[in-house]
Amino acid sequence: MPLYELVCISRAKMTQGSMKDLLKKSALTVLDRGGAVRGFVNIGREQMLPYRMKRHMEYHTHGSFWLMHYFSNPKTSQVLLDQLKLDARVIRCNVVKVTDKLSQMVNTDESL
Amino acid sequence: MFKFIQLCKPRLPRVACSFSSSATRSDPQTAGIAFKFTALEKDHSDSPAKDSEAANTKTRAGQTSPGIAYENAQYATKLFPNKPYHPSQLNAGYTGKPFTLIPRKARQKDPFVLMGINPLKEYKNTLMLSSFVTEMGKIKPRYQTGLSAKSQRRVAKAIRRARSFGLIPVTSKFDHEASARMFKIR
Repeated sequence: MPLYELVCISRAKMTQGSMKDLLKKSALTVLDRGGAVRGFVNIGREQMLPYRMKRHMEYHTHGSFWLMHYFSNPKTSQVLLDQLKLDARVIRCNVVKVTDKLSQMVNTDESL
Repeated sequence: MFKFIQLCKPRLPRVACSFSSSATRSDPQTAGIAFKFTALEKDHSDSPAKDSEAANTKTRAGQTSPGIAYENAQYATKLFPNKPYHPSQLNAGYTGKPFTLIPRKARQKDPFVLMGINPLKEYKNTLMLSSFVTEMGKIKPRYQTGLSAKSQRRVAKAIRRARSFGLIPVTSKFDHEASARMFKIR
C-alpha cells in the first residue's frame, strides 16, 4: 500500500477537544478501511494564512496546519478527502502520495 | 536574436577608440578624456569621387589620424563621435545585453543535484521555496536561479503545489519573521 501525506489546514479557533476529535476522525476513516496511520505532525497552530481563504460560507485568515501520514489504498484516500471536505472545521485539505516503494517507506537496514 | 545581431552591421566604418591622457592638455574642447579615432577598415577617403558617405565619415570623425590602429583594436568598444553615451556604456565589460545566457554547465553547480534532493518533495519547506521566488511572489526564471532545467521544473512545480495547498502566498514572498513572531506570541 502506498504511503500518503495529508496536508490539512483546519480552523484556528477550535477547542482542544474539537481538534482532537477531528484528528481522531481522520485517523479512524483510514483505519476502518484497512489502512494504517503512521502519525501526525503539527506544522503550526493558529498561524496566519498566506492569503484569505473562503470555505463553508466563511472567510478565514488564520488556521492550524497539520499533516497525517498513512498507508492505505487509493480509494480510501479519496474517501478520506471527501469526508474532510464536508467537515466544517477543515479549511483546506490535500493528499500527496509520498512513495510506492517499500525501501523508501521503511528502514530496511538489517543491522537494526 | 543572434541573427538580428549579425545582420545589423554598422553603417559607419569601424573605428577603434583609444583613450589617451596625454592629449588632454593640448585639446581644450575635449577636456578630460580625449578620444582618438583610428579607422580599422580600408580608408576609402583617398578617392573623393566615390561615396559621399566616406566623405561624410571623414569630416564627421574630425581629427582622425590615419595610420596606426592600436594593438587589440578588434576587441575595442566601438564608440562613435557625436553620439551620447551613458557612463555605464564606457565600462569594460559592457555588452548591451541585460543578462548573459547560462552556459550548459548548470547541472554541475545545481544544489539539488549535488545534494541528491528532489525539490518536489520539499514543497512544505517554505523557507527554501522562498529563495526561488521574487518579492512579488513570482517564480524566478532559470537565468536567475542558475538551476538545471530538470530542477527548475521541479522547483516550479513545488512552488505551484505549495501555493495551491495554502502554504505560501501567491503575490508575495512568505514572511518567515512575521510568522515566527506570531508563533512566539502563541
